[in-house]
Amino acid sequence: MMETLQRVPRGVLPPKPGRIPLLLGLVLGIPLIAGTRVAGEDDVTVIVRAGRVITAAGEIHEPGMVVIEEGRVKVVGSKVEHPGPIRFVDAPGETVLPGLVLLASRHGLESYSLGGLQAARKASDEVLLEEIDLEPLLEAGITTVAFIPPGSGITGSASAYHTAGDSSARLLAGKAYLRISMDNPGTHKGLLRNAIESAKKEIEKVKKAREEWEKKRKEAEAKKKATPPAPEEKKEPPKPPPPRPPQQAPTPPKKDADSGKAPAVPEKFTPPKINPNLQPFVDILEGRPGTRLVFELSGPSDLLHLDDVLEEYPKVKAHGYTLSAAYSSDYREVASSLGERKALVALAPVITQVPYTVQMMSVPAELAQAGCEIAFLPRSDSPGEYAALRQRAAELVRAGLSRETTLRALTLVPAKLLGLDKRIGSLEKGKEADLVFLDGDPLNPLTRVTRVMVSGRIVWEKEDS
Amino acid sequence: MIRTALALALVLMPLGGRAAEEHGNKAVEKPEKQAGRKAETKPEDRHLAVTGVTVHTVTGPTIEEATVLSTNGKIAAMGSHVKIPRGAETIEAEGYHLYPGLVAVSPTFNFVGSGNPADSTDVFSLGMTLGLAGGLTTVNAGNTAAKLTQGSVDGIVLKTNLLETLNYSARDPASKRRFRDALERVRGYLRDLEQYEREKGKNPETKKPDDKWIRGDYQKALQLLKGEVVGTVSADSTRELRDICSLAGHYGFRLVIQGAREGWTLPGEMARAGVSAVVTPRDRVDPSEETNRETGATIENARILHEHGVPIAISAGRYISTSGMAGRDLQHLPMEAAYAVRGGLPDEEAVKAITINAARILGVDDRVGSIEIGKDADFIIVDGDLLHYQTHVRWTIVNGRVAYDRLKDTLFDHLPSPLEENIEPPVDHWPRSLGEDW
Repeated sequence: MMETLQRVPRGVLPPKPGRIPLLLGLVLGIPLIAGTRVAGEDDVTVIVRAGRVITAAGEIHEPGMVVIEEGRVKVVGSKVEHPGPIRFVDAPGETVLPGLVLLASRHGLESYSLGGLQAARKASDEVLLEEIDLEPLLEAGITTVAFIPPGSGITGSASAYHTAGDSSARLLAGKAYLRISMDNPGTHKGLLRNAIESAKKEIEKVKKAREEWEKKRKEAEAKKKATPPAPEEKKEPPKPPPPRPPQQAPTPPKKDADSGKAPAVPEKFTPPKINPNLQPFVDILEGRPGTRLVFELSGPSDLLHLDDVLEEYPKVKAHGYTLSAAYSSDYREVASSLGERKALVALAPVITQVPYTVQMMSVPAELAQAGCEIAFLPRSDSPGEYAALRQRAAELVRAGLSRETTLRALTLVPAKLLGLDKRIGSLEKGKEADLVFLDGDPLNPLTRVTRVMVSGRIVWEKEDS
Repeated sequence: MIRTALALALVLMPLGGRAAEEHGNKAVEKPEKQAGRKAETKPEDRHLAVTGVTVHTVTGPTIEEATVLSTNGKIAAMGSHVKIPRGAETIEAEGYHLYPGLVAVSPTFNFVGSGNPADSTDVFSLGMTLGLAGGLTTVNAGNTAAKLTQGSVDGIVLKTNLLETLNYSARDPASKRRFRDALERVRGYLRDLEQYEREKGKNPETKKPDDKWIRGDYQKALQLLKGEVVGTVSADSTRELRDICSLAGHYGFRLVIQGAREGWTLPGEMARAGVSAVVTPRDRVDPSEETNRETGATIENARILHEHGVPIAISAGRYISTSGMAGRDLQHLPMEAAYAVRGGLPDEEAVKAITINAARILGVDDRVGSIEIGKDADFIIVDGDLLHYQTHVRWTIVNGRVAYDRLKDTLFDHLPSPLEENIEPPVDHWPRSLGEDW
């Protein structure tokens, strides 16, 4: 508890029932910090009353109210009535947005490089939340961050966390997506092909083992039928075999009536072990949902090379793409190709020049127009760029990208890329009450984040407010 | 000035395909590339038609005002009365000349990726566009023939293991000796084998000659003597050339000589040895004081070799372009070939030397190097005689797709062309910078 206390900024208090004087203060109605204290009480319905609420799901309420119960959004509207005990969080003149989502970061993590097939890795293996200073993220209004594994190749899974809140409940997804970089197709195409081919072999291996087991099983049963069955077996109804731990490879022989003669066949099929680095691809090939492949491209050519591999394997599909080399306008070459497949594309909000002309162009706008859903990444993985993210996005709005698309690109679309759009990314019923309070329009460069709420609790507050 | 130069070009042109009244014609491409893709024809058929163009087939006659039709990346029809299928992408190219795509025969790594080009090529790279702007469609990347398929990763690799580089250099007499010994020993083995095959039926006691030792250099020598591979070696001086030609003649293997700068001093020997030569007409080498005969480089090298019956291909060395405006097109392949013409090589032979002859040397002449029905639709459409210094590539077609369009790229679109007088580049435009890599 003390550690958490040290981490939260001045003026914010951890929920503690014993803080009577402060609760008293609340009752007396000190308006600015009132929200802080009320939000701590989970059993009470919290209503955020703001000058404007932008849901990122297509609605803007002015003024707006967000009703929060048990850390989740219950209702969003202009005028909401709610019976029962209510605490208000008042933010007149402020704008409330869903918390921003940073879909790929190595903030606070060691930088090192790994290559090759590392699909079993998870970023959460190396994340120690206590050791990472998430203040810069909160200050930028980011309520969800996905840490990515380092290096290139099939690097492993990104892990998504809330940037504040109960440390036990902050992990939103250990395997949000599998990050595969295609920045060196000469190597990475072969790597990807090999991984998929090896996964096929693993499936074949399991199939063969099963067939063998079934064959032995049949033989054993035929033998059993030949000899008269033991009387006590007839009485007992067939029971499902008790669950076994999967590690138990050589199953102990079942004691049958005539166990002395034939080698016993295990009642339950134990599949041979699958290489954990191939498991995601095995899952995809067998049609199990939940594995999202996000490909990191360093140029338009990488997409063509990726397609060249994936067209051989119709079951292996890209969930989304992240485009590195932010200042490359070359991605316009594949804008229509990405648009046709309505791809989820994450890139930095940068305006570039049409090569060798003085004309400016906005690759994000071209992608959006072509039909892509775009998500924004900071220009570089640094606190300065986290803070500047809204401002950079605003430049694109000035260049013609719609406000709605831009705000979604900071919230809902990155949540989609993480596979968490059912839980976070917009202010809709049932979603986490992750809110950012702003003292002005989100796309005005002068606007600051005043407060951040995660799962219904105020977790950060601007120092001078 | 330009008109005067043009008149000169017309005099130089053997084919006289360009007529004065055609100069004002603006090149129009229709329908739009996108529309062409969504053709109304069967989805699997992709047509591209070039109309009104002078076709230099290279291996056959030159056809004026003809249409060339590509279907699914192969040349499907050509001639004066070609029916253009509905939905075909059409390039109206009156006044233009169509040649086979040029083949860069010397190893170079600037246009496609290293390793396996099919997996590593950046198909939007500046290098690739530079190559296409220079008229190249096929390059020798290491020992792989690769195509410059701008914007597509399909069909990059044409052929692998093109030529076997022989370890035979005047600077390394020991390996020369080893190579000769290997050839001799393997030839002995082949003779024994032949004898065994002959006597197998008659004499039951004959044994098949031992072949366990045939590995490494011996394996190479065996493939060479059996004609399974074509050897290549770099040789320039009279002495080096005489050495390697006598070896190739003696053992009767196929050989491509790179360089051959002093080939003109012994063209008969080269012809008798049956070797091919890859020459760079602008290369220079000083005469040697040690010989009592004329040596050194001459602009006539290509002509003399050709006249003696040595098949020649022309290479522009490793780079098609260097940095800066001046160098970038002066080092294009047709410029190099034009130097050979200056030395007396007939025009059509110079064109062959950068197309079909180069393709033959790389063993890819079944697919590229000339305009023939059934071959790959790799061709260039240029605004004049290919070997004239003012001629630009307007379109480069690779696998039946427009891979380069001069007016849609910023490398050369600002330079004047006699067929495109009315086109002015946008005001806010400047030529593409090649950076420090080039």
